[in-house]
Amino acid sequence: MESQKVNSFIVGETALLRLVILLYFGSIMLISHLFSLPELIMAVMASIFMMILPVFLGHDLLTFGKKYTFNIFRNLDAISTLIIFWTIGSLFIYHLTIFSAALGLDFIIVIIMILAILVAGSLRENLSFRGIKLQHFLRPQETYKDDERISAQELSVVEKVSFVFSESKSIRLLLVFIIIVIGISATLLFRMYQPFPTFVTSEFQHFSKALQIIDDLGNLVIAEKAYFVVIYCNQAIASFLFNVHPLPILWVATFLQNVIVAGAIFATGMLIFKRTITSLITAFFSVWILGGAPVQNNPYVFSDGTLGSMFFILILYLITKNLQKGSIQFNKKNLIITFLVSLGFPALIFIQRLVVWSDSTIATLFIPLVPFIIIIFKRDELIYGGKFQFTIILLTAFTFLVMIHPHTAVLNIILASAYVILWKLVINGREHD
Amino acid sequence: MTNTKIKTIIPIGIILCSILFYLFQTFGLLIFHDNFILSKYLYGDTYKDVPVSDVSFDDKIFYFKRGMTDSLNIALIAGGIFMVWQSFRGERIYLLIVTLLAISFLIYFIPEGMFLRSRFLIPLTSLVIAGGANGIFALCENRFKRIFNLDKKIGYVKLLSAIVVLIIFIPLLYESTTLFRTMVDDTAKKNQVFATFGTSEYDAARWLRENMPRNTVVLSDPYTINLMASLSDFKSPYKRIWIEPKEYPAESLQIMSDIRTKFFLDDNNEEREGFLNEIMTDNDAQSVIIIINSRTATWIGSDKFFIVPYSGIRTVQVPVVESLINLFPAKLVYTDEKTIYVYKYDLSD
Repeated sequence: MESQKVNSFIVGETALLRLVILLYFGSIMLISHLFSLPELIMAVMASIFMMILPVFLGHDLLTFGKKYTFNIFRNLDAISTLIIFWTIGSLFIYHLTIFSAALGLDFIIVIIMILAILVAGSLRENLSFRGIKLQHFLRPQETYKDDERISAQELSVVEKVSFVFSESKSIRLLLVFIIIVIGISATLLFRMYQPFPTFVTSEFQHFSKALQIIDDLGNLVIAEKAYFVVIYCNQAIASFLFNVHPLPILWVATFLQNVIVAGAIFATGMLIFKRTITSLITAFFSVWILGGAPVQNNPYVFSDGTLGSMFFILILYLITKNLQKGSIQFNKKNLIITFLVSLGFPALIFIQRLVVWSDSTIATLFIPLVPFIIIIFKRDELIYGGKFQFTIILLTAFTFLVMIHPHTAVLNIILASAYVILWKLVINGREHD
Repeated sequence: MTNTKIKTIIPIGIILCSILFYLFQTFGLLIFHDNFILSKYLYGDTYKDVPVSDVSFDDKIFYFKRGMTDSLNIALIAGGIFMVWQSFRGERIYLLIVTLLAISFLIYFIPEGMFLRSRFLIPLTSLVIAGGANGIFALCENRFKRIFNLDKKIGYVKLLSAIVVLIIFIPLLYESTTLFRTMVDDTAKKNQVFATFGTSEYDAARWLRENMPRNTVVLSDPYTINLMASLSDFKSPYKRIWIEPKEYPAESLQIMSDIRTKFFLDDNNEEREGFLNEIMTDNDAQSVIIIINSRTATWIGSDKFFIVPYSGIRTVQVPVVESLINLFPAKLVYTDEKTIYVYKYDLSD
């Protein structure tokens, strides 16, 4: 009985926090439609919202109809959970928009549906976000006991006892500050030289689709030999809600993208080296070296390609973290199923987009939908864990990668698959010997 | 035991293969004459002769060197050697990272134009260079504990080690910024901007979005058409794809060519009107917007399809604009009187 009281308190508090966040952004959206506000400030708000929106939607979609238990997302760390939420949320936005386009609906219908889901999602349990702390991002290599987050939640309510970490709060904040500075440093160099609007940094291919989605969704060309409009759908929603042109959003989102790049490579570095200084050095190099064509470390661009590159780093993290935990042990059968599923469906998407049926609207609509439906159908593997949890994680990641940038996804997926095979061979295999 | 050896031999083998693949090409023992061994089967000849894709092994080396420096290359090699060495002392994951980097280089050096966008080299190279820093860290921690007898004061050991690592790596970190700083400096010296279009075009497009009906076709040079149609969401007279002309179907290329010859270079206004009416009918549009800027003027005098300026948009002289519009009965609806002139023509005209 006592436990139930604690639970209902936690549930209320987390949902309330989400509602407050939404109200905050909602009020800014409203103001932006009533008054003319500075373009760049609105773009900052819209860019941040572009990051938050898919996370909430992904959470709502995965937990829809599921009763909250303490087992929920227990097998995933905070960063992996947020990556999965963001990925599924982004794919959901894409499918909703593209099917609305096929049905000839107006963009406002998409907006209303998204807002309705966001609000409805805030009125129910949001405990997947509960217990996530800065330390989970700065020290991801530390293995938490399965029930540590939950017990901390209970303690924080009953006894007001929080985690005891070796680093002080100010050091943690300093670390966050350094990562942000590293992340934006290269972008800032170019932006300082030429402030907004600098257009080689935000080429028009990357915002024209968003404009078309907003203005005339019913006549959007669905099947064409180009990228899937995953990011442009999200960009269009942010642009519409905050009453700001998609171009300034691109300009600002570049900064956020590179903060995520620096943060992701820092977290991956921490998993591998377990040293802060070394991981910071990795993060710094990752935003500066190998610049320009053709390797294209171009930290002044926000495009499908740069996002694909960012997501590859997140995949490196997902693989390292989830295999490092040791809870995933592959036998031959599991490994074969994992690769059949996680490579087969993205391969279908690649073939559809670039080789055959690329001019077919039906194929463009439904082939990418298949893996998405499988992920949702097998969401219990993500939520509660299971022997195919890693399979579904890889399927989610590879599907997203191939939809962001079909051309370069193949190489990224080859490398990520090689990483998993090598892990099985060199690390898991050795443990078994 | 044999099994364990094989499991070590495979990653080491991949690393050696990668090194040999590079060395063989460097010393001319392995020469590829085709830079598209795979994509030509997937995409046809689309990317053949596209400069950024059709590059040789030497070009790839040049590109790589441009993005690195000698010190960083040395740090990369040292980091790789250290990580492999450490992997035999328990840190097996290090071997994986170096092997992944080796696979990345194998992919990069395969003569395939579509493999050039090897952005995955960036995080993996960073991780391997930082592996060197980690090695120095571990070495320092080990030594300082013994030398200064600081077994119980681990905080001091970590601090001293961090100072040593930073002393060695700060110059490398600074050096890694060389390429971007040089890019900015060079462009600044030439008084150029990193811009494929100008602020005036952005403003013009906003004005058009707010003041013109949506079923309007944009007429100008192809790059300006792509740009302004995207910014304003107006119609393009041909099916827009991407920038490379090779990606466009023949009909689209023909329309681009016709815009130059049948509109801008034609003196007969009746024929020009006929051409515009045809474009409006084909695109189910009510009006045409004719945009003239310095890019359009350059395009008229060249045989290229796309003029992509990377230094913003220059001023266009009024006589040049007048010569291009050439008394055609279109109304000037927008101009900043420097870089952009927008004329409107509709069926009522």
